Amino acid sequence: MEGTSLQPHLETLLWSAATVLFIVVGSYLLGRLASWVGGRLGLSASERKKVFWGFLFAGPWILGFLIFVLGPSVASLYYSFTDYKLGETPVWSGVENYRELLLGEGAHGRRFSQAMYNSFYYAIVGVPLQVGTALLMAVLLNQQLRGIKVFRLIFYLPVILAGGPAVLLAWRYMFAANGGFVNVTLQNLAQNFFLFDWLYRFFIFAVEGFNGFYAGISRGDPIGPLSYTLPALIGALALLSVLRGEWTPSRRGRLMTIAEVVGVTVVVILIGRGLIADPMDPTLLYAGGLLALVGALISASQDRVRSARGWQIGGLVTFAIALVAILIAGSPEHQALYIPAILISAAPLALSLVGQWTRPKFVLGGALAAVLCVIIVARLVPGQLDSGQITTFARPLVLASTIEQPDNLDYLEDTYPAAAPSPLWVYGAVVIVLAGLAIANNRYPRAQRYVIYAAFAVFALLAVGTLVDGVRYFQAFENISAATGEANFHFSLFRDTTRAFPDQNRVPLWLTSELWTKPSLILITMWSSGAGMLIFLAALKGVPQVFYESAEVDGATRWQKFYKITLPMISPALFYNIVIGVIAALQTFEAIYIISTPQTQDNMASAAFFLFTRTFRQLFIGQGAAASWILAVIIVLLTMLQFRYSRWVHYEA
Amino acid sequence: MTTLSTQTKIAESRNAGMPQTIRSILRALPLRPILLYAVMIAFAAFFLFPLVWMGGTSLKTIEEVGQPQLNLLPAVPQWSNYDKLFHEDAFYRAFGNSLFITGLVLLGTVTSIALVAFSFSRLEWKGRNLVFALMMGTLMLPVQATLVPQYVLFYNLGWIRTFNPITIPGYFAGGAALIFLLRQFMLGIPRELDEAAMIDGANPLEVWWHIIMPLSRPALATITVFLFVGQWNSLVQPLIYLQRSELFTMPIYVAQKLNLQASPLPWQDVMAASMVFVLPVLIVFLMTQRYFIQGITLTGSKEG
Amino acid sequence: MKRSMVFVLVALLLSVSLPVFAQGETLEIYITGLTEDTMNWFRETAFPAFQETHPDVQLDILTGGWGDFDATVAGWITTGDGPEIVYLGSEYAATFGNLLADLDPYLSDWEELDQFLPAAIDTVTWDGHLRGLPLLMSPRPIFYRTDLAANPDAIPPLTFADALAFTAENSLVEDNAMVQMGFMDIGAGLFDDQEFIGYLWSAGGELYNEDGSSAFDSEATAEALQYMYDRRRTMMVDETTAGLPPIEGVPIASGSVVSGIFPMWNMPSTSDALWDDIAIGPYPAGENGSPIVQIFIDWLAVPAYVEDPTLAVDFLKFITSTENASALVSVAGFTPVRQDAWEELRESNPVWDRLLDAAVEYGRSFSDIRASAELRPLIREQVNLFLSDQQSLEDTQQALKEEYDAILEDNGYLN
Repeated sequence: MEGTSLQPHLETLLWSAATVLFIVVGSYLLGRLASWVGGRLGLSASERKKVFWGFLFAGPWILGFLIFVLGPSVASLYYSFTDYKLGETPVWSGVENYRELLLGEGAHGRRFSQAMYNSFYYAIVGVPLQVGTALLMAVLLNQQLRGIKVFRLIFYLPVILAGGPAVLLAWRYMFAANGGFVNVTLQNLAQNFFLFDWLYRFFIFAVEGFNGFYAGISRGDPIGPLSYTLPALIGALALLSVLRGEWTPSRRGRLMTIAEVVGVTVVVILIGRGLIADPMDPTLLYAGGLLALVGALISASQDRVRSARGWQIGGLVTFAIALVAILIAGSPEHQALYIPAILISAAPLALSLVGQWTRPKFVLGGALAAVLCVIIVARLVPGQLDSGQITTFARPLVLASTIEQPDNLDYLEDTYPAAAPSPLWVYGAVVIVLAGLAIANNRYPRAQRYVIYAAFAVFALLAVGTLVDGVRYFQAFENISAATGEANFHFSLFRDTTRAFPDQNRVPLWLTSELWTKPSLILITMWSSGAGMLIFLAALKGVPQVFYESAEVDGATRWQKFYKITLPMISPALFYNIVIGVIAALQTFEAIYIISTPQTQDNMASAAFFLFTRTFRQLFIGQGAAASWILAVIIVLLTMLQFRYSRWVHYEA
Repeated sequence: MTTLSTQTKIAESRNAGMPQTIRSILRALPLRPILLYAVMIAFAAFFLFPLVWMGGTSLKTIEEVGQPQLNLLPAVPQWSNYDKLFHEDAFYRAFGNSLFITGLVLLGTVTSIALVAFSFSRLEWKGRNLVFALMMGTLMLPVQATLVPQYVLFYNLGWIRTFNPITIPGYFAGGAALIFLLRQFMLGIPRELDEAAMIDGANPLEVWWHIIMPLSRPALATITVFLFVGQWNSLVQPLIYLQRSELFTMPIYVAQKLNLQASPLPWQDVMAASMVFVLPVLIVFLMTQRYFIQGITLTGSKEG
Repeated sequence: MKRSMVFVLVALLLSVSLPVFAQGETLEIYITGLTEDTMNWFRETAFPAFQETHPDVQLDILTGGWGDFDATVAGWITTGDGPEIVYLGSEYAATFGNLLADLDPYLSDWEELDQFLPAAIDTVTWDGHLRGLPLLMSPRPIFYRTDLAANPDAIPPLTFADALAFTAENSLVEDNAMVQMGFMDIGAGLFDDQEFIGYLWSAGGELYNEDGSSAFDSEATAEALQYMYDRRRTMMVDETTAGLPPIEGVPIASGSVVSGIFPMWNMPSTSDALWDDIAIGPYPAGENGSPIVQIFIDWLAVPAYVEDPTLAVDFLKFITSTENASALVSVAGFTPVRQDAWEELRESNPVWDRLLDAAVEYGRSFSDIRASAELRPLIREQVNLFLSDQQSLEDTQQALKEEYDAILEDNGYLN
């Protein structure tokens, strides 16, 4: 190389040296500053020393955060509240960007919610598969076999390759529907093995059906009575698990956890959906506030202070959303609707101000107040839980139909969904029953038994009834279509793909059909799950053999050893992989960039892909920034959920 | 040794219900290794295929590349494709730049991450949880959100068309996910070890260097590999900031070979470049490999 | 040890602080998407020639590639510091709009402007002002394989009905998978957003009404959409039919593609013998329209942050001269935009002769597509829904119209 071309390298070396110096001095000063501030705040000398060392070591990150992250983040937060197209001056526009995206207004709002649905798919379907593959590979590699090193290298290889465009292009060839490696292999296997053929066709049938259904849901097609099936099923299954065995403290804890997870997830999702609805649905916010209140009370009754804190934070979030809702509500009457939500969601926080709020009597009073609130709210909001709606719930219990005009398209598409009570009531019922059982803690075994039987029967019947009614609902559309000769576009992909079992020569249209694009991407991420594998492997190597040896003495089977020793011991790694996996799912970018075609882009786009297009293709920096902040909030919520419910995560050796 | 004998014991107990003859045949066969190998080979085939395709294509002639059907391997390997690559100045420049950048980034980032993770896991200080939560928070913000403000920042520092926007941020413990990973690992190291050292009068810096760093080797090796792969593959950031062909790194060099305006597309050149591109990462992985196996020394006793 | 460290540091400092002797002005040109050979032509032939008349000017090419272009440009615009000349594709005049300098004061009285194809000048004009100069053009007609077609006499079909019949008789599906494709669109995905606009035009429609609102509710839109739907169904019975096997080389040469729209860089080189079996035709037309050939223009623009574009404009005039246009034909294989450079080309190569004939007779360029960065995803989404049986024709047209109107409003084209 000629001398001149080394100039940039030398410059970089100098900058690097200067940076190291800057970091050393900066961290030292930061430590001194922190210890001085600590002194002002009345810390003892030894505490101050700890603070000094702590900040000294954390200094590099803190300095980097202040310089490279904080400024740009504040700028992008500011942009998100402006109408800012590249090259123009940002004009303050309040929450307009957020409103458009969250309410799904217009082409961009709709594309954003589609991207959110896609991301959700990657997180729910992709991450477990990816983490599972990584764990399986790590367990395989942890065996003592000859040549394991070679396999380790091969298993890791995809991670190295995955980032580059070349290998993603290779995948395009592998996934070619006609003559691609994947499909040719599958077809050969199917032709030679009778059993595999049926499995293969069932696989096609299931994937296409599921994705077709998901496409309908993400496009907002009404699902009618089916919206009650999921919560009813959760309730029935949870109660079934109680019926099957003895009442133990761990069972009680598990019920509590299910109740909380269902409660929190549903409230977060429904509040999100409530926000997307136009106008924003206040009942969802009431419900969120109520749930936080009840949860806080339950936790308090059991002296679980941390748990109660969690519920308080939930209340706070609802509170914040209600405030935002008031800000963006159109009219004063509309604004008034959100005031109860603000009051209810502030209640859990207010509780801790009262002091001694864990006293049983107080808890009982609070619970009564909460129930009263439910009733008031139910009566306060027009169209929620009036007598007509209660019969709507009662009908599926006897397998009767709730659909009154099965031959009227307008009724089916608009009137019926609008008049149906929110599925939240069913979720709420599940949470209340499970939490109630957990609190009662088997103190009244007989009464409890009856409650369990009754509740199980109701949930099971509701699940079956709504499922049957859901089929009727879909059939009604078909019948209308047949009678009028007009095409029925309601869940069209789902119906097209499930009408008949796939022919023998059918192949998955991996990258070209919107039924297969998401599974393709998931397969590629599974293929490159070697990073997770390494983390699992390092963790597996760290499990002391002593534990296994003593378990063997006790006669544990291999599965028991895995479940009782390995899994808890590597749970930090598992936890890490899941958190990182979910975050990555929302931020998938490069793979989509390369393997999608213009026709499949919308069906593959992750939230990050959307915001890239909005910012850099269409130059609407303001709305792009808003999208990224929504994404950030969602990731924070998800991570909080995961942190909270991985209590079994084992940190101490 | 012990594990193997118990495995056979368990296999025996599983087969207890079978007739005597089958049982004896099964016992004679090394069933479990065969099964394991089968599963692993199936996995390996799945993982290797794209690489084989890339390798095969890199040895094809331009005519073979243009054929409609997908042939995995060329009729006659064209090693001249690689020869051509090794005669390009741009290739050496890009390779050198990539090595230079990655080396610098690795040095600075691993050290700073180890320091920060130590602070978050082994030191107790007021405000630690707050700072840690903040750090986790930065994970949540998508990188695309701050691209534009960041460009302005680097511009004001005079760093556009230099390596600095790519190398310098790493020195500030870039990569919250890796800090988190290392912290999780360090949390698992028994606390008695550093407490004992502290009582002997060691300061935290000494504890970090003499106790925690040696014990963290598997995790350090892991993050080194991750960082290396991440940096070596990094495409978008260098593209945005380098802008000049003499500063280009390997991924840009490879991506530029994929120029759509060339007809027919010189796939064989792209793939040859890709194959060479992958090599350094493989070497680093092989070099750090033994640390993964080494495991962690816990409570002083270690298995074999 | 320490002393040597200090020595090294001082040496480093010295080497870096050596003054760089920059002479005169520098002119930076951002080029992405051209081959290395073409860029070398710029560096080794064009730049020295330009420096003969501008001896104090340093010329430099900046380049990037996939994935970064949009973000990089965003960086230049926000900081106001970047290259003086940017190489752009057809649709960028509308995307960047006022972010590009108005070159009218420098070019309006340049007599050679008349030599450029009028459609190309349209493409580089935005809001009535020139934003740069066209460099190359790429006509995209439909190419037909006369040797593969079942009925070679039917080539080229000029109406939607004939085109449908042609596609139907030349498409072959066996075992749920395509064996031969009667027609391949530019994205090889059975439809393309630019192609849709092309049929909209050839059906006699326009994108805008006179008041500037979207005309997607027109009869012509319906006709174009219906044609694309019918064509898709003649090739694949339903949405589960697998497409052609992947083609690594030039599709038209694969033997399984009978006709299609391809850019010239995705066709065999013009000296290839296959051209004897390739016919050139325009997009078929609807009942009230006439056939068209879409023309794509690559051009050089000057961003608005450049304070004094004089030098940049000098370079633009230089690089688009007749002489350089002809040179670029042999280096890059593109069609020149200047008509005075065509004669030589027509004589030297019969393929170019036929192509230019088609371009002159049917040519229509992509100019004045408003908010194209937002229109394209909208078209893809809506047309895809219609073509894959998920939405009715009426709903598709309604959504296209309403949402494009909203986009036009957002971008200040419509009040």
